[in-house]
Amino acid sequence: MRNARAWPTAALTCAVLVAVVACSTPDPAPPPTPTTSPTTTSTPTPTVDPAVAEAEAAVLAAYQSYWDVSAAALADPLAPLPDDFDRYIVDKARSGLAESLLWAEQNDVVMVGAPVISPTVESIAIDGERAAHIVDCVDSTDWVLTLRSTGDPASSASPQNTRVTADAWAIFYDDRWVIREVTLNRDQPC
Amino acid sequence: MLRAVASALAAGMVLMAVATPPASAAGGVQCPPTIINCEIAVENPGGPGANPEDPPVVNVGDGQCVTWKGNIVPCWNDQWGWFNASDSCYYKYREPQPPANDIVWEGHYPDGAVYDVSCVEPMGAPGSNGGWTWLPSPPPGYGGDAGQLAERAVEQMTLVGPAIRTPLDGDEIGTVGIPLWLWTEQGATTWGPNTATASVPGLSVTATAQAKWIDWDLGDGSTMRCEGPGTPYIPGQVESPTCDHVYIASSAGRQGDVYTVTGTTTWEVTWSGGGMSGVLQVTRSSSATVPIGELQVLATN
Repeated sequence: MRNARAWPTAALTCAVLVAVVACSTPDPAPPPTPTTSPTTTSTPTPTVDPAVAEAEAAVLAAYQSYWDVSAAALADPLAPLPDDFDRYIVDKARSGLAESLLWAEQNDVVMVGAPVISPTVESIAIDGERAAHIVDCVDSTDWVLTLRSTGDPASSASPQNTRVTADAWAIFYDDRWVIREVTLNRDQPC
Repeated sequence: MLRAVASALAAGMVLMAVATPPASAAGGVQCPPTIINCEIAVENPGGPGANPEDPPVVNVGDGQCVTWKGNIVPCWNDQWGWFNASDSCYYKYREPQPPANDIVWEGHYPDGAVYDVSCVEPMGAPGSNGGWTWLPSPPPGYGGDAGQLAERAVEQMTLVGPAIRTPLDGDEIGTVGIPLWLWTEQGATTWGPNTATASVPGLSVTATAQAKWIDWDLGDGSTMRCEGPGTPYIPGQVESPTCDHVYIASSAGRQGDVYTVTGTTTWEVTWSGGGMSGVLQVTRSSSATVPIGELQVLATN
């Protein structure tokens, strides 16, 4: 827990470092120089390395897939798993989802609906050992634990946060960005 | 150059921070990792052995395993792999294996293997169970049927005993006191190598068989072992460089007036699949008849 709290600071440092790395790395597609746009004023525009932007998009797509697959699988834990199950989800993210599915199966419950996510890439390294950190606020208001037998909501009345922050970690594995771990911070509403 | 090194160093620092997620936190609510709100209003029976002081008595059939709570689960699951009763988790060989520099190897690469571990009844806090796990050798229960699959692969090869050959053609009769060469013709089913694959969903075993030696029962009470397939007869040469037998009596008077020669080939089968490997030995026999006579010297004056 302490590590988790300490993380954002480290991540912030990372983000700065990434920017430095991205700028100092020889890149085949350098950002356009100011001379090519004489009509614009001096409004500063953030220069984003196209390679970084592309990697971030791939990371977010993998993360979106994680939740899509989770919602699809938990909608019916007894059904065959979604085709994408093993495409973008590995390691702890995979075992955590497996644990959830097996738990739902044993308790004869399903999840109806889907979570709403709003992720951003907090930091990313695209050179060498590629890795990324995603932060999110996961809203499960419309993703309801439901008794399979009756179709009634299974949750008790006791209040639990339905919108909590999440941290996710992605790596580049088997020629694509995949989600390696997702942690829901149940004590951090958002 | 200097700049490249500096940037690589900076990248390394980023990696150390980015690639190491904090340990999963166990919150006050013990929900499965993916589910935010998991409190169930109804009573959960929890299976027959939910009380640890009341150990479950369950009868299991073929392919069924028992969790630590006494629930019956399949020993093999297409998605999760092989059940390990010691921790109630499924284990599946990770393909492709994570790169050598991944922390999961704990510095052991390339020894052992990395498995996907998925827990049916987690013993630790939610989210702290399973995931990529390095093991020096497969866990208990892993590949319960891999050995059987290897045997099935061997069956597919339809291996047979030696295709017995001697220098005797057609009705020719061998001679007492003269070495009788013995060998087998070499084909995929009589000497090898021979390869076959047998699979079940999620596990495939490939076996390769190669014959090593032949034990001969010569029919006259003697036996011998010849390494290798033997040597096809070379006209003009008396002794085989690898495998022959000298009969000291005629086969006349025996059943059919022949010796029955039986060759038993020993095959070595190496197999691998699902991160495991092994060696089997199988034997196959075949027989042939050999007439042996005494050399008659006719003296004419």
